[in-house]
Amino acid sequence: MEPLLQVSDLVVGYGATKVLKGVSLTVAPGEAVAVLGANGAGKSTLMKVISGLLAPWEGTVRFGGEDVTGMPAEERAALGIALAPEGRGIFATLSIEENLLIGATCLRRRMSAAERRGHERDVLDRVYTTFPVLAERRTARGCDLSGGQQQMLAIGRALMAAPKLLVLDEPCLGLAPKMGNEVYTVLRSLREAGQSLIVVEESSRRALDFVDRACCLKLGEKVLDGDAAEMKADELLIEAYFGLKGAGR
Amino acid sequence: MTALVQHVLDALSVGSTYALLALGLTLVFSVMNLINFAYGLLLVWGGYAACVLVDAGLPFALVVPLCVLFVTALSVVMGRVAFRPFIGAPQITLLITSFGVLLITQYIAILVFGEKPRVLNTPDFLTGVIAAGGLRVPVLQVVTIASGALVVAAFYGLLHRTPFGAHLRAAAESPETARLMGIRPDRVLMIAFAISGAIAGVVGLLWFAKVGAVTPRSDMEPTLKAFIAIVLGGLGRTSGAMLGGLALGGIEVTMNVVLPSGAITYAQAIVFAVVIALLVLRPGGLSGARTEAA
Amino acid sequence: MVRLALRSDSPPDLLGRLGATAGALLAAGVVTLLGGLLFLAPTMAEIVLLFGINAILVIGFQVFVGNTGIVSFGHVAFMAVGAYAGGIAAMPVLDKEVVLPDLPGALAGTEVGFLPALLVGGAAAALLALLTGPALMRLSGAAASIATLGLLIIVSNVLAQATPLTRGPQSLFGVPENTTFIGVYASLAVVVALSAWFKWSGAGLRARAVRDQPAAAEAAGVSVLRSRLWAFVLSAFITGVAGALYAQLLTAFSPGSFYIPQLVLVIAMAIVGGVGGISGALLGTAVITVINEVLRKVESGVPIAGVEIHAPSGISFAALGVALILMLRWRPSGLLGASEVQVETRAPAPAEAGPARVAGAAVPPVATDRPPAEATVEE
Repeated sequence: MEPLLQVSDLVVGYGATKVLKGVSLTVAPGEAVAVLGANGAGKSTLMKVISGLLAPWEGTVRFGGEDVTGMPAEERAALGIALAPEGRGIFATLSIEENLLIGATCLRRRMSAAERRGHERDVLDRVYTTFPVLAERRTARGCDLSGGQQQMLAIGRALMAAPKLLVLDEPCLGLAPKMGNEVYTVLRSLREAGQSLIVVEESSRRALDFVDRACCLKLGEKVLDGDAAEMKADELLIEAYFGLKGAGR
Repeated sequence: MTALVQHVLDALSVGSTYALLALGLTLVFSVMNLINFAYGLLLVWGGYAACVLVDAGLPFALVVPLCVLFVTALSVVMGRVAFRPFIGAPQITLLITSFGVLLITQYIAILVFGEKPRVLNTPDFLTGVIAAGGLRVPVLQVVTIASGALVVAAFYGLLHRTPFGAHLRAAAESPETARLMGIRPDRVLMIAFAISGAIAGVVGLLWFAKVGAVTPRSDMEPTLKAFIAIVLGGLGRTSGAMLGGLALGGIEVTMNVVLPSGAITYAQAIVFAVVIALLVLRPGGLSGARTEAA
Repeated sequence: MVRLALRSDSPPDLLGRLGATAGALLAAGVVTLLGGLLFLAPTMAEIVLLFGINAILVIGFQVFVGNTGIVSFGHVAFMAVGAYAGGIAAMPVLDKEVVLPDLPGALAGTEVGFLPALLVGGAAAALLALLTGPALMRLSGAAASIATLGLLIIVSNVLAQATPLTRGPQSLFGVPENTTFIGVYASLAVVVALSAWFKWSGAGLRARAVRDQPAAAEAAGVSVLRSRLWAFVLSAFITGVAGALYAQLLTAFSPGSFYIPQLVLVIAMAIVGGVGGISGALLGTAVITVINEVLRKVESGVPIAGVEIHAPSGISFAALGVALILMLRWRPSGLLGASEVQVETRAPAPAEAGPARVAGAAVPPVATDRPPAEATVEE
């Protein structure tokens, strides 16, 4: 079967500094993949290339069989890639509901206006059912939410686009452990519903528990790629090797 | 008492003109960090369009929408040709780019219309005066205040009650995240230029109806007033822009009232000095937004 | 080994500073030599003098803008103050009675020579900067630029209204024509040396540290306000000197001579050359002067294929607008960027030893716009 996402031999950086030095990654439809690595390994850079915010120096990105390497982020969003960026990217001055509705903007090119409105209502209801706290505070502004609520909002907003591939960049960053567990409960149910996704994590334990496959980045190169269950068996070794801090989180 | 009411009306009408100017300027600033030196020239072109259309014999009720439309289109063209290539450039680069745009568009205005002032013939009712009690209120003043309120209401409706308004605010806050949502940055920018142009069209008509004549160099005063208003109010906030505009109008009218006749010729200098003094007290402007280093 | 280099990093020590200053002086020397040759042609004399004055003006502008990163729209105000102060100081007492009969006693009774007049012009401008700087320098970015524009408007308004001192909006005439080739180009040399020395001094480094990393610089104990104020005052002084030279070249001028058109000229020269450096300021002034003169010829009519072609007046400003936009689009740091002509007395130091060593512990390293040692000429 053709992979949903196929990233090949990416080389990219900022200014004169090379951050990714030939990284490849594939995601099959319905698959959940974790990208692990220490701070500065290039994880977020890889996500920026996948979402189209950053153009690669070398290498290609294919999505759903189409070469999207030169395609800007706003068009990739319409194709079905939804990135919940690192730091959550909540619009602080917009209300919760506006934040969610804006997530469906990219559907304009896929659906007619009536169809879209129906879809917006459906998904909005679903998001509000999944995250009741957002429904309660739908008129509050983005900046009035706690970190955990913002993360819920970021995931909910990404879902509004009915994405084929959901990309989550460090969804638990800066959250209390309890909040982090809640986020993962939601991710697990998404995964069970068949959502393809990539989750970026610095810590390996929680991610490895629920993905199919994981790859590890170190200093801009992929050093490991394999079955999550197998990798979990070697977790201690991986952590010793990469300096990933998993156990304590 | 009537004198006070008169002054307040003066301040409101001057202030609402400045507030509209500042609003149009801030809108584009909020999506691409551009403080547009050529903004006043949009007013000038609007003024010339009005002159041409009135002289061609069109009824004023038709001249107004045509002018606003023309300036809107001009603003979009300006944004697309001159400013779009500079998306993401530093604030200062954009500021100086707009300076270049001003020089070029002003030259075109000189080529087309010459340096001599061109009189704008407004319909008689606009030059009338309403007398009520001891008050004598010029019709134009009432029209100015009313249009100001109307434009601001429309602007806020657009910004806060439509999906497009949400897109605009999202793009202003974080262009990158907005793109992830599928919002096209250049489309947002062009619509911002369009709205800003429509506002410039309205203000241009009000401005030159008051002044009475247009020259290619009439742009500097409105541009400067708008600049001062947005800095005074706090760069980048629509509420700040309007506050700054109204405050500047208030300061100007107050100076004209309270200054002794010997100092009145220095009114402009004193107004600017007051504004700078206010900025020293509140570097983030009256609305309190923290200005960021370039 | 002594050699000439074009580089943008800081010279590491006193010798390096001397070398950098010498390099800037050498660039000024080349400009002077070329100017001197052209000066021999009688039609070019005034252009050569105006060019020199503009170069001083642009260097004055650059000292502030290049080191603080704030684009000032107010420097023409300093030029105006320098011109009026220097011009009135130099005017013969007898002429003052006619031209400015209401001048206060102390001013009416004194007249000074060329050089003191320059110093008076520079000092008056520096004083204005010292008085307004503590307020203006609190602002950053575009807010600061607009506030400096406010300064220009204030000064212009005051000059046009203070009739006893300035003849108001009418032109002030009767200033002696003291400005000579030697006067202009000797001033240029002094100004270039002054600004190069400042650029590589601790004060200059602190100003650029604030420009590049305001928070880090402040955390390291650098005062944002004071570091900008020094650059502001020095640049106002230089600009004021240019104004005094201008006054004594033109002998008659009005507040309108120092307004938006002059501002456009200064900005175009600085941006085209590269606002980061002294060498760039000289180059930009030269390029824009040539463009301007050519277009002025076109405005007054050029025969092309037997037909006299007149461009409507004002085309030079439109051309400056085009030059500005093209420059900012394709080469935003200007022709030379932050690079300077420097005299090196040894092999170039390894790259990492450059800025870090001068910066020392107190100041974070100053970011350079371009890699060092772009072009090297062996001597």
